[in-house]
Amino acid sequence: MMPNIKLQSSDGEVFEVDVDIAKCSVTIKTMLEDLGMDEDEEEVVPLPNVNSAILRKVIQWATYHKDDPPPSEDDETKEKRTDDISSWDADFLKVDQGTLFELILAANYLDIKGLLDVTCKTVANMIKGKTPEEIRKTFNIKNDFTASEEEQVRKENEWCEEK
Amino acid sequence: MSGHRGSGGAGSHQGGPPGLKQIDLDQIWGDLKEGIEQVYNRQCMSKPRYIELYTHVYNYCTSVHQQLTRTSTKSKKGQVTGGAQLVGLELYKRLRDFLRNYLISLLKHGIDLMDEDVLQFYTRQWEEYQFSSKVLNGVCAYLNRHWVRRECEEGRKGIYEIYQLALVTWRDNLFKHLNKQVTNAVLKLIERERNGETINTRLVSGVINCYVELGLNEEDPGAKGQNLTVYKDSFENVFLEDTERFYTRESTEFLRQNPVTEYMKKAEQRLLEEQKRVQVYLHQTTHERLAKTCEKVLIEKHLDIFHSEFQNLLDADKNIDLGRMYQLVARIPNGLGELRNLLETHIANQGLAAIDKCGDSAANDPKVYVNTILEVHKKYNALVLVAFNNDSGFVAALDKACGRFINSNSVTKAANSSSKSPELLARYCDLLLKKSSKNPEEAELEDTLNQVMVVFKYIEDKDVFQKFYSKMLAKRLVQHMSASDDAEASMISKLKQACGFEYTSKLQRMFQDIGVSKDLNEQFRRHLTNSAEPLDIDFSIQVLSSGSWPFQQSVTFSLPTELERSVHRFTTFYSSQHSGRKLNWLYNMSKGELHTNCFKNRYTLQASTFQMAVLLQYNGATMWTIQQLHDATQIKMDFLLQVIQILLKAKLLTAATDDETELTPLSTVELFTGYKNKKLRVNINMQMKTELKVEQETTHKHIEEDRKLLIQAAIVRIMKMRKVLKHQQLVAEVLNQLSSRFKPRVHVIKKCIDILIEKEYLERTEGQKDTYSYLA
Amino acid sequence: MEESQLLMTELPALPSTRGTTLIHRPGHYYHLHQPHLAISTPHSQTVAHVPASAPHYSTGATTNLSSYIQGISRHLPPLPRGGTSPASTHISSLYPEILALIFSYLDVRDKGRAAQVCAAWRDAAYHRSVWRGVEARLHLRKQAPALFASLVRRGVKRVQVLSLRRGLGDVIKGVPNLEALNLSGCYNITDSGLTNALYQEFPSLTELNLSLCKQVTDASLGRIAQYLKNLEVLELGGCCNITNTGLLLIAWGLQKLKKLDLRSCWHISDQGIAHLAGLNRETADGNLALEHLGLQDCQRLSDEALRHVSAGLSTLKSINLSFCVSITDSGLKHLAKMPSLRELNLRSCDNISDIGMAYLAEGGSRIASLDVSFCDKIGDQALVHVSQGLFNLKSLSLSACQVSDEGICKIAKTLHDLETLNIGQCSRLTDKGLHTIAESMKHLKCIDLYGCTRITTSGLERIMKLPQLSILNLGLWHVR
Repeated sequence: MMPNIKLQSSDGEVFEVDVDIAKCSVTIKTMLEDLGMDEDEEEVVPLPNVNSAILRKVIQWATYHKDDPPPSEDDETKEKRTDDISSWDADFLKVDQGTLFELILAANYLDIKGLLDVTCKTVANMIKGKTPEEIRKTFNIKNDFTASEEEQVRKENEWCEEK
Repeated sequence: MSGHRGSGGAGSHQGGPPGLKQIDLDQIWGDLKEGIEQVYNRQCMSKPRYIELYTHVYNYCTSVHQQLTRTSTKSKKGQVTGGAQLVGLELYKRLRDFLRNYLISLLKHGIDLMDEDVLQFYTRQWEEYQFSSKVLNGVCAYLNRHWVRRECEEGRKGIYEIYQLALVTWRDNLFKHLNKQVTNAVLKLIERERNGETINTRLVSGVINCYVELGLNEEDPGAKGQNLTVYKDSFENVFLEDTERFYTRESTEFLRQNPVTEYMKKAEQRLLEEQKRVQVYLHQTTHERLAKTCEKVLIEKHLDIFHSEFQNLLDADKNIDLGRMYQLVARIPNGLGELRNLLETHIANQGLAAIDKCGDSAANDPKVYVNTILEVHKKYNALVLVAFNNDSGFVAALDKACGRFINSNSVTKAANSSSKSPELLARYCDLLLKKSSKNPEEAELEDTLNQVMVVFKYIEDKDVFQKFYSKMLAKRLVQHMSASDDAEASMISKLKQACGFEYTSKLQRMFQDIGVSKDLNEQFRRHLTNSAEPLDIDFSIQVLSSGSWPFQQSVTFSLPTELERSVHRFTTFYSSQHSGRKLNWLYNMSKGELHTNCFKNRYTLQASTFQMAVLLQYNGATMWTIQQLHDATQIKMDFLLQVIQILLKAKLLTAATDDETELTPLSTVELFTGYKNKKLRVNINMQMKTELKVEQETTHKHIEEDRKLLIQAAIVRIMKMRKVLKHQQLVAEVLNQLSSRFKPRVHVIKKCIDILIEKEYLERTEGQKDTYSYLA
Repeated sequence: MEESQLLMTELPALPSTRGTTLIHRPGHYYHLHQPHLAISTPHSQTVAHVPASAPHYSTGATTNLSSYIQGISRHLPPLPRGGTSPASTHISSLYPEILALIFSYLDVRDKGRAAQVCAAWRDAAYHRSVWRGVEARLHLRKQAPALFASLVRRGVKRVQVLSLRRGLGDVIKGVPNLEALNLSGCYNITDSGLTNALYQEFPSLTELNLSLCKQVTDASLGRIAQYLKNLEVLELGGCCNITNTGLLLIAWGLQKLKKLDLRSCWHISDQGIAHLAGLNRETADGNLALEHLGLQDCQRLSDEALRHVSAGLSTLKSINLSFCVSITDSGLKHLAKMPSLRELNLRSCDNISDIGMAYLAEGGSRIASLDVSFCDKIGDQALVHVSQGLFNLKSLSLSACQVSDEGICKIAKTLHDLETLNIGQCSRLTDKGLHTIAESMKHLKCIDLYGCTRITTSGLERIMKLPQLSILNLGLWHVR
């Protein structure tokens, strides 16, 4: 029988989660290691930076991935790929931009490497192959460069276009 | 403070992303500090509180960039990101200051403490501090994950993850001021334990754990694992010095008051204790250095005492103490050499003394001689095996010692020949393998033969052994005196294993001849039965290939007419089977049985062919002069005299004179009709004394000749390959090549070289001293 | 499978001429005439279109699941307005460290473009973590100090020079922590250009590629050996003016060298290899840390060179001897003894025969990869030897060798770990051989069967059932 832990979202909803699933979050895992597990089982852990909708999705993701091998340390020499997103994750991430960004923020806050990686890859895939202007359009970003700034940054990155 | 960008609605829903909140350090620091104090005061912390603190750090770290990127964009040299880094540093600095202040005030409580008090204080505070710092590290995880990592990436020195920071701060503010008295107290505690007191080992292990943990790798803080510098510099080095001092004093003191054997027990126990000490409360890397230190002081410094005691222990057969000494000295690099030398000399002396003690019986009784040797070997072989762990160096010492006393001892000196040992060994083999009433059981025999091989291994003159052995084997075979074919075969195969095929090829050939002869006799018998005229006497032969057998061609002899037909029939039969082969008869090896009709009882006499020839003369007359007998048998006179002497002794014949030495060709010898014997079957075929003596002498002479041939063959082989060689090298190679057979004497080698130069196999190289060249 | 993965650097094999007249044209890419038969493994593609989100989770949702965007797949065109609703969280909520993580997944071109989007993105894009391992490809035409400063700030430490009109010194001075410099194909590099640029010790540089810098001579190597003491990789392929003297200089100065490529350095001979192997200790210590040695097309090398290699270079892991036509079977005796050697390339070594394989197998070689393609003295007997000794093989290339089903059966029985088997143009091979392969070599991942004219679909069907197989080549060129 797995012990459970109660997580409370910023908007007050309480989720009871299997501890092993909650430990996908290194933040929670570290906390449990630092404070010990055995004390007050009824204690609710508030997560003030995650709302209930996002927390629900995070838990859904973690439940599916709970048996994944622990994430490896980043191998700096290895080329980073973005075409290795599993179909489950791809489906899971068919959400609007706002939700995607909030998932990123939640994964960052809770330190869930797997989720952070896959969400960032998804954003990277949205950037790939676009011109700066197309990128701005995609994400509704305002060009805040001055003319000279823009010229400088263009020059600095001209070489990146070399095949 | 208005870093509002993009079109997202800040705080558009409850608890939304905090990215747009602007947080000043002072906003969170108050509560964060309170929480951290809670942690370091060891107050219980709830999970919500933990998350709250984590969130403070997170929110601060993720918001600072917003306010600063704008303002710093235009700064010179493109240091766009400098602002965020500075603010990260701000939090980092406050944490560092907090830790420093905490430790400075902590130090006040510990600075005046000594001995166990300081240890109690230090270990307790350390454990709590370490625990609290791990919690702090968890709370500051986001700072570690981004800001600290990035600083390190940029190559900034002196920035650590928060737990590491806590360690560094401890090291700089507490450890630095307390470590002398702490280390001192630990050393005192260890000394008390060495003196037999029970101590609180947790105090020691607590300090050691702390020292180990503090040794972080400053060059590469990201690298996992410690580098142990703190542990080594502040503890291990002093500890080892202390250890050396302690045991120097103790061992000298102890040796003054106790025998060495007691000291060895003590040293053994101390070494064990120190090994356990490392396991219980020191770092495992200390094991090797500590062991080295102890070994140096406890053993190496007292090696001289050990050496002189070693001889005493050998003399008194104190095997357990010897084993203990071996185990101790073996820990010292190159420490065993002297023990090996002492052992070698001791065994050699024991061997010599044992043989001396047997006196003459050793020289005359091969069994006594060989068993005496084996006793000594067995004893020390067991010692080497058990006490010296079968250490290869000690095995070598045993071998050298045995080689020494077996090849040169009072018996060989008395005989003035190193060949005495192989001869006696071969004779012992003969005793074992010859049919007799005392033949041992098969298993026991095999065992004894293995023992023989032990001695054989040490024999230098293996060719001498071969000569004697083949002689005696030949006799056993020809005279059907072998106790067991299996045993003979087994011994030959042992020798083959030890010395190779060539060494035993003749022996094997002899063995085969006997088998072939058996078949041949069978065929001959069938041939006779099938022929019209069977022989009236039972006749069997053995055909021995010349060259393999150590027998001389026969002397002149006139075959008695009674035997002529048989010999003739066989010769015809044999040449019909193997045309072109010539049979030479070895009359001196032949024998037969005579039935007597002239005495009161009918006796069967087992006699040599010469004896038969003489006795058969008495079918014609009952009295002959010796000259007459000589004419009839053609046996050489001196030989004939010996034959007759034996028949006289057997009381089959009588002579006028009682003194057999006074026999002359003119003396008459008469058949003694009153012959009587309790047995009806009498063996009168005794070996003649001169025969025996001559045989031994010729054997030795043969050996010398054979050796010269072997040496010459070796020289030619070597020179053929090398073409040109210096004298010294040639001699060395010859010695090496022949070492499995015998040990050639250098002057004999020289002689052989001269012979070969004479025969123009070699020549002295012109213009070069002591150099020979090969003449193809 | 993407188009880019079909690019080739392999030599064109002209079956009739057996290699001796082949012209090597590195840098030219050949497109596959006939596509790979790609067998997709699970998890390799992500294009399924399935509605997201388990329904039972939607009940308590307070966020805007209604404004549901399909902008995540690169297969879909971006929506013109970006699809953000006023209530939705904007990308500007992502912290620079998160943007940096996202940018780290982009290729160089897209990284550069992301930096031009806005100031916040630029700042995030210039994080060092974004550029880790990136090689900047530059045309050195005019002075560009700002460019170098920006490379340094991003932590870019690898530079490839695409063309060169200014002195090399610009790069050397502009990027003081340079770790890798690739000048491959800069034909106008001269000795004086190099020596001027390398005017002092340059300890950070560990990789230097001078392939096809045809004007470079031993003089440059002298400078390199003197000032680039930490060099670990040195590529000199096609630098045909280099002589044994140059190798002596390398052997003298570059103690840390791990990889050295001397392809088509025609002047070098056995003596030069002896220098590398440290056999002339009084003049040069040798490159005793060397792990990879490329001697392709160095036609003056004989078995003696291999004796030197075996005597001195005990840490060598791979050696390429293709087109070294003077190497014979006895030379392989030396290689067989090398404890660390894992990779051996003998393509088109005309004097290598079955006997050579016997020497390798008997000598206890532990190679994992062996290429004897186009060695037409290699036949079934060679495979008997291989099957009796080279148990560590993972990759074996036998293209155009005289092997038949019989030989293939031998190796199929013992080489259980084989992952790559190239038997293209082995025209005696039939379905029987393929059946044996399909039955025994369960770990096979790649197989090349181009030009095996006697095989039929029946054999191919069996092969395609191999559980691990991911590449089956039937085309003219294939990726190894």
